[in-house]
Amino acid sequence: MHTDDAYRKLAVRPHLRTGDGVRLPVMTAADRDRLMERADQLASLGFVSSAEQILLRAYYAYALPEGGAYDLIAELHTNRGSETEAARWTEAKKHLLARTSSSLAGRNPE
Amino acid sequence: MTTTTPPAPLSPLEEPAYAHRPPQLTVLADLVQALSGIPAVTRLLVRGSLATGTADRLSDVDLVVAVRDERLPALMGSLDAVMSTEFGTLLPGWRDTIVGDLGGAGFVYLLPHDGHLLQLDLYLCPDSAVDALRRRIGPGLLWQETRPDTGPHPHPHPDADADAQGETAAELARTAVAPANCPTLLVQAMVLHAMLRKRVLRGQEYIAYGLLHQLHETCRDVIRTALVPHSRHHGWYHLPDEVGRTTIGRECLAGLTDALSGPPVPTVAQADQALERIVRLTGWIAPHAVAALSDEITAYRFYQSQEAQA
Repeated sequence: MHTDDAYRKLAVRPHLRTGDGVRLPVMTAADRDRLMERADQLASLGFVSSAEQILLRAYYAYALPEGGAYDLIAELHTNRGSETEAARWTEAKKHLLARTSSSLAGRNPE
Repeated sequence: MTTTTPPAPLSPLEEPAYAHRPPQLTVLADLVQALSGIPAVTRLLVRGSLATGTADRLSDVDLVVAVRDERLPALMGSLDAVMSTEFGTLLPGWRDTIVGDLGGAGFVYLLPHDGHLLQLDLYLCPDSAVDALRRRIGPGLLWQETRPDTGPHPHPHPDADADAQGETAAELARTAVAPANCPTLLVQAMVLHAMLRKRVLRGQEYIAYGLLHQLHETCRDVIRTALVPHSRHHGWYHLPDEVGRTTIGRECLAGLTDALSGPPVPTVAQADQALERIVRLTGWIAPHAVAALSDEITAYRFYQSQEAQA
């Protein structure tokens, strides 16, 4: 589990208080287009890592489906013709979300 | 957080010097490493106290980034995202209105480094204007691109055609006069406050006086922008007439008058009060701006409280 100071501060109490939790907004098509355009501009300038980072940060800003940020990154690379990079992020999503065939079968990946 | 790989090999005498080098040099090395791999960047130059060898622990990092003319607007538009993701800058960049017009655009960032905030001044300059800039302020060349066809960077860049130069100059001029909104003014207040604290700590009273005045002007601009967004007036003109028509406007003017009644050269505590006054007033009249920068304001206060305890 991802923890940080803010999480630990909340976790010392057994119950959340009103206002502790915030429902994240759903990403609209316009939000998505704007974010992908920003990421594409960063990648076009050569800041590929920055482009990936701002898409990963969408996780904290929007109620994305599980693994949605990884899908956005894979889409960025696909749109830019970087199939290898797109495949790398698709694999990363499977691995990080324990969706590999070995983990689905309850076996430890080699 | 920034890291650098030490140059190898170091002699036994060089190792302690490398380990205890000023933090600004670490940041500078990381900037050079990150930016020199970007095709739009043609040259990197250092200026200020790092270039002259007079830096102390409070000194800022001054870097001139020469950018292909046609790519400068795109880089300028992406700079906050780059600085945030690559270097972990605390706030969006503040469009530097203190630096002179050197043909480009300056941005000030605050960078957490080893528990402290470093000031990072980036000056984006169209490649076609860099030679003139070098003649005026003489920054030291840190890096220049090597092109496979022509070798080291030729000056001026042959790709910088007149159309690209004109379009970039127009974009720079447009963004320089774009009206600031309340979130931008809050960022400006925090950056000016960081600069002011540094000057007060150094005992540089004339510069501190100027920065406090700019902080008061920022307070005024927040009030006018939030309460009279379509005002045709600038500066201090007609402020009571425009703002004082409402109860909240009169309360804001009372806060501003209180600010102006303080000493012209502040202590650190008075500088802190000046910033807190701006944040408080903005919370009343433009709560969306404070909400949008809530994390940034908290983080900024945290680092400044760390500095106070150091």
